[in-house]
Amino acid sequence: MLLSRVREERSLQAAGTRQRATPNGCATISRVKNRGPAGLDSASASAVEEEATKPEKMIVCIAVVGHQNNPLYIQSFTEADDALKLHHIVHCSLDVVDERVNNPKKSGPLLNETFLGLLYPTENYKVYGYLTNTKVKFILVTTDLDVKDADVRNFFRRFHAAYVDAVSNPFHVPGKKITSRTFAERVSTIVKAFGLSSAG
Amino acid sequence: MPTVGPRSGDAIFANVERVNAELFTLTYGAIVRQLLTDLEEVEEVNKQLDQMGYNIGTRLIDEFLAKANISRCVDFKETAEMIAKVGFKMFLGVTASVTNWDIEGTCCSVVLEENPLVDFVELPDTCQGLYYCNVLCGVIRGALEMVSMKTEVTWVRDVLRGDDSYELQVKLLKQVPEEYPYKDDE
Repeated sequence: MLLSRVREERSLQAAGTRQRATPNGCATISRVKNRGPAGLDSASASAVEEEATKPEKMIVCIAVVGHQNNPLYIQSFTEADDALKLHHIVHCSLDVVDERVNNPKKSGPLLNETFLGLLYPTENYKVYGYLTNTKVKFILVTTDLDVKDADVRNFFRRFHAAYVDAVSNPFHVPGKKITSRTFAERVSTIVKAFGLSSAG
Repeated sequence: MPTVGPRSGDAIFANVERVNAELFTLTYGAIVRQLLTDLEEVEEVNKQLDQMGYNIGTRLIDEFLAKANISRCVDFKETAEMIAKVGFKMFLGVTASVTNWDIEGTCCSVVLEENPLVDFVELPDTCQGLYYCNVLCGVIRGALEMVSMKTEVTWVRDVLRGDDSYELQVKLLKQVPEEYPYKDDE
């Protein structure tokens, strides 16, 4: 899984996007700056092939974005072609997140650990967001057009748990990318479980 | 070895004061991180952790002997069992097992299935060679030295390095008879 990810990163490099190299080469993130003034950076995924038993209901990409909109972890689970498109989708969804955060529709207590819900429906993808109380955002892009709210919430809950464990590693520097292999494995397990559970 | 009396450590563990495991783990992680930042050399950090453990062990043995309420151990085998069953249980809340005795009975392996020090920890590639739990080696060494046993404790297996469990090798070098601080003729 790691090897194919590295290969995909190199193909992204060839595609001309800027890359930020991480010390051990996994979870390299390329930035596509579409909006200069807003200063938002998008997190693009390194592609990993995932067996699509049901290609219509699949998580295409997940991203963890820090509170300064810096990318912390991205993983995509589809073929490489879409990678740039996924970049863009995640990037744009960050804007929606900021909008929701700054203009809360519901007041007070629902602001913490908010499951932000559907952010951004495009013709093929749905994008869900989740905000932790430290302003770390989890973005989920899925091709599933029929996904249940409860499933997504469940997914984010488990993802949050995995994230917390990864961040508790004393060797993890907060604000830097998550380089934990255990985290990557747990995330793929959660993603697979999501794919199976919502296949019903 | 059959456990006799308070050998299991569970009862004592139930009575001692507890601290939150995550707080303990995170604190230890912070110590190791800080040592790495200060010393930069992995070998130096290993030595320092061992030294810290030694200092802890020399003090911990008194608390252990006070709380565990056990009689004098007959031989080194019993000592090792004490450490594994009672000591680890009392202070870390985990039970270890003792295996791999050599013929003379001076060298054994203490195997830990789980280790609360290393929850959430993954060694980065820059720190390969780090014995993250080296403080435990020092603790055992220090504690045994206070009861007149010179030992050498090293890590044989370490989950953070890819093995399946934690294994410490405890080797008894010699038993040091107690020295009286005053000369006889004074």
